[in-house]
Amino acid sequence: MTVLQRSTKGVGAALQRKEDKRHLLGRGQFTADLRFPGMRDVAFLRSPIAHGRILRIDVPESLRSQVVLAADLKGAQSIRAVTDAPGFKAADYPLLASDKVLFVGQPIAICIGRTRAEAEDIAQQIDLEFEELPAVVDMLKALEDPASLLHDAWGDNVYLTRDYEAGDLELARREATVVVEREYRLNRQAGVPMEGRAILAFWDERLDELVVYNSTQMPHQVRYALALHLDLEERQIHVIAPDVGGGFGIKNIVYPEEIAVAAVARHLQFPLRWIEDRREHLLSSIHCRETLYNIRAYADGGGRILGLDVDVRVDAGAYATWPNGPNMELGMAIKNVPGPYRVGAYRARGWTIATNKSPIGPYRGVARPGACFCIERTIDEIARAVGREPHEVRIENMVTPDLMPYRSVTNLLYDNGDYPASVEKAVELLDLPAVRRRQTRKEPDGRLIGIGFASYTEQTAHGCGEWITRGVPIIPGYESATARFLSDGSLHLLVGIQSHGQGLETTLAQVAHQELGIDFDRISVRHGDSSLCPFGMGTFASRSMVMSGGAVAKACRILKERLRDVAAHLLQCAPGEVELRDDRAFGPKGDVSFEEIGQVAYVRQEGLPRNGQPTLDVNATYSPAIDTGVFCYSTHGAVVAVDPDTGHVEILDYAVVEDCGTIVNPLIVDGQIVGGVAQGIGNALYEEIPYDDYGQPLATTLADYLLPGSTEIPDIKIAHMCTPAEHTEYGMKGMGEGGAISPPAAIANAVRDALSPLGAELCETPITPRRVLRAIEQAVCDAPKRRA
Amino acid sequence: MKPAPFAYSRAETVAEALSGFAAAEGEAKYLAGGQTLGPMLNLRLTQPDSLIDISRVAELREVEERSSSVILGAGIRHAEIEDGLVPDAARGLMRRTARGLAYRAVRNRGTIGGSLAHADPVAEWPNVLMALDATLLIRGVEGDRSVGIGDFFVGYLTTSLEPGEILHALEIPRLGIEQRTGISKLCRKVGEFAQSLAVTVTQGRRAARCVLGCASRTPILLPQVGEIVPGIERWSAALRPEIQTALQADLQSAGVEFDALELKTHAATVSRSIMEALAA
Repeated sequence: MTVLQRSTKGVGAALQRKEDKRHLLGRGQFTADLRFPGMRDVAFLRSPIAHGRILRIDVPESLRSQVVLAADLKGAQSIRAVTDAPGFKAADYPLLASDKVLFVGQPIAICIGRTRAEAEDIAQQIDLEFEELPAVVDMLKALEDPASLLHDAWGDNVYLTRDYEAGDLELARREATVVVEREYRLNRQAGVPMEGRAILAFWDERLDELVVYNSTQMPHQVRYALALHLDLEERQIHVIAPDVGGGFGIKNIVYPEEIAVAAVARHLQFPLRWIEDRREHLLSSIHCRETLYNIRAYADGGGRILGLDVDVRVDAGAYATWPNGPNMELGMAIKNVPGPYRVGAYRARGWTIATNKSPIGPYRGVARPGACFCIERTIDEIARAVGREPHEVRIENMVTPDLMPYRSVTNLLYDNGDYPASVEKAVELLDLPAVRRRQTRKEPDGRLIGIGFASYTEQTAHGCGEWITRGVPIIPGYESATARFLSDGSLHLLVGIQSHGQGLETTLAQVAHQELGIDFDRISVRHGDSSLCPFGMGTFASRSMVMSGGAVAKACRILKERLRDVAAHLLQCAPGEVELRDDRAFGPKGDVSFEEIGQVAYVRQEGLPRNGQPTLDVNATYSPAIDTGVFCYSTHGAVVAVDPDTGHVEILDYAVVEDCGTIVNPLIVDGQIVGGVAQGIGNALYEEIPYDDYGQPLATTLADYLLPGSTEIPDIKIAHMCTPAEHTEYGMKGMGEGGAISPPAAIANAVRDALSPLGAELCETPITPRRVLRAIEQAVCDAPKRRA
Repeated sequence: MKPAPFAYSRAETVAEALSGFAAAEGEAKYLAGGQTLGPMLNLRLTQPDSLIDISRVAELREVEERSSSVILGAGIRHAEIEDGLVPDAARGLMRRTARGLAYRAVRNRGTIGGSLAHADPVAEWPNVLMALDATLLIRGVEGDRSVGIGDFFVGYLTTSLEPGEILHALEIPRLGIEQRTGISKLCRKVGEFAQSLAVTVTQGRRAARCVLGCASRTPILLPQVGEIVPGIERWSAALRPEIQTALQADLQSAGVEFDALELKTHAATVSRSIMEALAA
């Protein structure tokens, strides 16, 4: 690993974002901001029922030309997400339903109007008739006693089952002095980025191509997917992701709505757009999190974990989305339950189950908030069972630095770091002894105070080999970058990732500055355009800074050699003697500006060395040196006050201690942490989409679906540790998702601690006032039994 | 989420609004602050043929101070109450209430009359004005009338307003110097509608007016709880069981269904409203 030269605008600098100005002035350009002459709006007619056969779709004759049904879609294929996961059952996800509908909100028809209101008027005038089928709502019943089958050919409602076993669980069971058995449930929620889904598409006659503006995290994969599903070659598809207002995984999917709009726009003489509204988002964008864990943990008298036995059930909704379907959740849940701990024996069984609900997909943290909840709540219960402070039991079970690199019981290779130190720091930040003292005094308002911690280790920036084990159809094991030095000495960085809030226009420029000594303000980062930028996978899986940052560093280093070659010729010295800084190249006897080098390379080739190559345009791809990922880790801690009369939980204090290796921009890293924690607090306390027995979703507006606002997010204390990764550029690790992983577990542990005088505990998210009251009531009912 | 087509007209006077409503074809609705009606239109939960905008009718924004009461025009906005731009007959309760109502953006536009006419039992004004025993002044093509607030709410989102009638103003009795008020609102996050909402207005040696929202189709007066209040010397947590028992009896006699957890939650807000009133 190279020793990093610190610079005021390079890697490690706390620079404000290049993106901030346009967004703060309201001058960002999102898909809904785009205006094209003659553009029309789409409203989708969606299924009002959860499960049924479509008997009749009655479109008034006068509106027929403005309505597109499944049969009208020419040259467009249903979505078929096929993964290599053994035993995975695939099923077509139609772009528009024509035969069966499988969830409330499933698209049935495209209605085209001059305005969105007019399109909705058309949708309202279409009559639908169904033969209703029993809705499969409860995943346990779907598994054991299905009222009906979603996909008839399957014979059951199971996408995938998975088993894993390592170590001697029988031995653990025999040797255990403590057995903790729990059921944990994370309820269904949505992603809710500020900007919903959006697509605007038209056929460009001059270029003979379909132009698609799309609010996506992965424009190149969208082009790939459109070519796969439409009767077009990739050369005929141009995907542009303009400003994208958040994704969180929700836009890491290519949806039937998007393919259908593209399929229709292709044959029209005017641009067509669909802008998702909030109701549609809550109904029909992917949902997430709904998972049931049943764990049995075996520990010795000191709380040392001997073995874990866990069943995981994922409620995956009605269809498999493109590209990865719902099977990410189960595999990652099973891999991550053992967390940052030394676990000798482990058995896991899992089911990914189909229900009549919106399809589930990857949302920030993917499965790990649940896995973390499962193990971290369990560790606290083990600690209580053996009469010790949970953080001590946590530390004693952790993988220690001297064991690194450590192969976990689920075959994850933890690369480096000091996990126990993160717990110690979090304990210090929240001043655990002070909280314990406060607990001994009664609060004047009758509330109960509690403190809880939760740790995780997160695989990030994993390469080809890891993705192959997951059976995914597309292997996102690399990124690419073009560094294009221009004739005036300014720089274009063209990258295949997409930035939608991560600040990559800033951090990638910092990398280029680091390598080339070029002025940070003379660098433009271009992303989100499938025709302009080299192919890349996009931004997800906490990968972009490591992967794309690596690609930019690599391209810039090649470019650097080219710059030195030209400069050396101009300065009449050896290339090795040239040093680049402050937009100039310095030789032993003189210096030359980047602009002069650019002039020579592009428009005054007579200044090039003999046989020198004109232009300064470098393309590079990058993969980290290992496929198994680099693991960032963190411990979160929460102090809460629980009102036993009303069940309300207030977060009094919150701390995050994390290690993501070398930090490129501390402001952006802290912003990512705070944003992730905010979403984690939503997961812990507020966000939920319940369904009734008929499969009707009960939270379809933001009046029913509660999101934390600024008043619900406390000031978050952040402390950084830094263990540079050995296998990535600069020692970077990914960290984008991490903030969202621990909050449900940390807060639930704090609530558990607060309620311990009452004997109540919370094993479900979100922790609503009613659930808290019910837990207290349950504890009161159980109290005589406990004494007995 | 765009509204179905509707005809729109703006009235400058109450008379113009009344005649506009009478002349409208199909279903008509008055539009005041639009903070509830707007989203309902967008969700197509309501699809009137015409909207008559009364948000700029000057008569609806008049305020009159009398010796024993204050008359507020129905078009007074929550923010105007919050900011003390209109007199508070309830000696601070109105301002405190407005401050906790939704978000400032909503308070800037939403009106007190609109909130009453919508008659949502989880909203603040129906409950607070019930506790204050306000009288509602109503105008229609048939003439003017007034109705006590106890007779105004007749069901869920339903009032005794006849089609076309406009809630014109509300008369709020001035509280005496010895009267105390308390309000307790439980909501899952700042600005949300309440899960439970209780208001207490003491009446000297007589029973207090205690009102509970969120438990039924309309705000509910709690007479048995109110009886307890005059006898309390100083607040103590030991009063909680007694209040909960009285509350349970009040809810049962009002024919309200509830479970144990709801009762516990409502008992908390009712107790806290009494506690606040007695501490004031």
